[in-house]
Amino acid sequence: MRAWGVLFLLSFLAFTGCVYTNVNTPLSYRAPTPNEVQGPLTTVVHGEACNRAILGLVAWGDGGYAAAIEDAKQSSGARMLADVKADTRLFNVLFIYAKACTRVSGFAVR
Amino acid sequence: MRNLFHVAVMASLLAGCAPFFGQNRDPAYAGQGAGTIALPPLVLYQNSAGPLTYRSPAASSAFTVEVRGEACQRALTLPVGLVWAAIKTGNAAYAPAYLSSGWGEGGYAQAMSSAQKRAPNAHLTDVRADMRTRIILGIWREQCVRVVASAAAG
Repeated sequence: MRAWGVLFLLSFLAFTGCVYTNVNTPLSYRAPTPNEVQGPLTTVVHGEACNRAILGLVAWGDGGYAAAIEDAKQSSGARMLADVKADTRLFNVLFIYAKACTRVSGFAVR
Repeated sequence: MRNLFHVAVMASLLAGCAPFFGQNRDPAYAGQGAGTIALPPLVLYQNSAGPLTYRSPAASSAFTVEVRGEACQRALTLPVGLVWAAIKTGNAAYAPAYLSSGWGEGGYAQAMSSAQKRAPNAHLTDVRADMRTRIILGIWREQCVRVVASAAAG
C-alpha cells in the first residue's frame, strides 16, 4: 500500500509539473526613445532581475521588467531610463540550479 | 531496465519548471506567455481574457509617481486517471489525462484600469508590464499581468 502511495506521488509530480512556482517574467515594455525625454543622455546604466529554480521543482523570484528597471534606477539614482535594451540570460547547471535573468541597460534620465 | 525506468521518472520530475527558464517555449501546461491561460485538453469551461498588445504612452517629463495594477486569470487542472491509466496500460502516454477550466479578466485593459484607480486623474505613461505566474502542484495556476506605470497629473 505504501509503495502504491509513493508511486502515486511520483506520478502526480511527474505529470503535473512544478511543486510550487511564484515567478515574475517580462511581458512588454515600451521604453522612451532618446527623443522623448529631456536632458543629456550620457550615462549608461544597467539593471538586472532574476527568477531562480531548484531541481526544476520549485521556482521563485521577480525577473520582470519592473524589477530590472527599478534595479537600474536604484543603482544609478536615475529618475527614468531611456533607449532601454532588454536581454534575457539563462544560467543552468543540470537543472539542479537554474537562474533566468532579465537585464536592461539604457541611458539614465535625471 | 528497472534503473532506466527510475531515471526516466526522475528526469520527468526534474523538468517541471523548465518552461520558465528558457528550455521549453511551449506554453502548454505552464501557461506562460501572452494571451489567455493555456489549458491542457479536456477543457470543461473557459472564460478568460489575457494580454495581447499594448503600446503605452512615452514617459512624461512632468513630476510623476508610480502606480501599480494587476489583473489575473486562473485555472484549475485536475490530473484524472493518472496512475490508473499508466499502470493499466504500461504506457506513460496515457497518463496525462486532465480536466481543466480557466477564468478571469487578465488582460491589459483590466490591469491598466486597476492602476488608474490609484491615480484617477492622471495620465499613465512608461508602463512596464510583467507576467506573474503562480503554480501549486500544477493543479492551481494563476497568471497575472502586473503593470507599473508613471502617473503624471493630467
